[in-house]
Amino acid sequence: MSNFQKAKSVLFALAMIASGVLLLVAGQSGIVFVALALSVLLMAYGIKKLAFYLTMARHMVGGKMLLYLGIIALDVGTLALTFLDSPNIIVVLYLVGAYALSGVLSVLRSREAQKLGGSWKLRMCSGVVSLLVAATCIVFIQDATILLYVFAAGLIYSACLRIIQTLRTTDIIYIA
Amino acid sequence: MYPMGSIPNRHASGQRTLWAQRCWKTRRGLRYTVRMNTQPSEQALRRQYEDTLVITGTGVMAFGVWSLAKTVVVAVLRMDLLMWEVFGREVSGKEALLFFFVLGVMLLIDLVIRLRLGLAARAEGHGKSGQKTSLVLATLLAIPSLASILFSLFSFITGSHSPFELVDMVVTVAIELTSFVLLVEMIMAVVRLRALRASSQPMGSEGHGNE
Repeated sequence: MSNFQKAKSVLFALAMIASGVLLLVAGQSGIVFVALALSVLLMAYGIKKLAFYLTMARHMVGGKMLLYLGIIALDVGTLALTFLDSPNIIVVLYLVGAYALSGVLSVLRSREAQKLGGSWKLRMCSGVVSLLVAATCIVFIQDATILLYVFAAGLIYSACLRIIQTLRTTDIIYIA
Repeated sequence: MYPMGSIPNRHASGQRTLWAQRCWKTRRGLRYTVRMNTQPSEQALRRQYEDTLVITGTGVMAFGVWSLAKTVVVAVLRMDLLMWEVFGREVSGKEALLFFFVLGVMLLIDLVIRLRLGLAARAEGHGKSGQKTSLVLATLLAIPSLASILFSLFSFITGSHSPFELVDMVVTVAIELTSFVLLVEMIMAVVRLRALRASSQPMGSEGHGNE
């Protein structure tokens, strides 16, 4: 990564931390903003993919997949926008999707590592924690505060990881 | 087959490679190349149809899963509105239960059809022999899809809508149109691929054709 990219990445991570803290401060009303941001981001992702399809991927082998992906993402985003009056459900669906998926993947990978005789305890721990977080979200679906805490914690955690990843000197050459 | 009419087959060792069809030397010693995209070879066409089948098969499955998920979410979160729109009056718990049971069975049947069609198309695209039912299934799915596009367009033109409803409708029409075009593409690719495979296979030796 060049220095400019590093600076950009760190700034983005700082913005993530700031928005996480803001959400923690905002209290219950923050969940509407989270739901709004999620659905708008999803729509923006869909539009980006569609634009890429129209300008470039039409001429690529297998580029149609991007069309399908973009249009489904756009539809998910608009559907989420129509359910802004019950924002808890949107946030819970997002959180459960993200945490359950990563948890299951971590557990499966650690099982594999265990079979091969590698180190597996840390990864298993993180997978189980992710699954527990997902279960917590489902249990406390009515409580906006807990959902907000989970979401903000995830945001700040991933921002910290991003900063560490950016500032660490590695031997890997990034092509970006 | 050849765009120029009479291309000398200089590599006449019984083995016509793609390269030999594409390039040869003229009498003056210059290499002359035929642009293959004016008339793709049988092999290229076949690969193209197979790619189309794999992609549209995946797409059919993805759209099926998404439409199921969407309907379930809408039905759960907007239960009252849905009942009001369907029945036009207040309904008892028993009627609602029956309605949801029927709806669930129909959705499951639709999903099974789509998954089966998608998997069959993917298998055919990967070189397995095609199923006879897949053409029928694709046509069966395409007809109501076209009808729903026309219905959406009709209500889009006649009714007056708020801006958000307009965006929602445009996205809905776009997704329906995409899934319809996808089915049509799949049908065309299946028909052409089967014709190509049938013509390139010598009679009476099915399954041991020129691979």
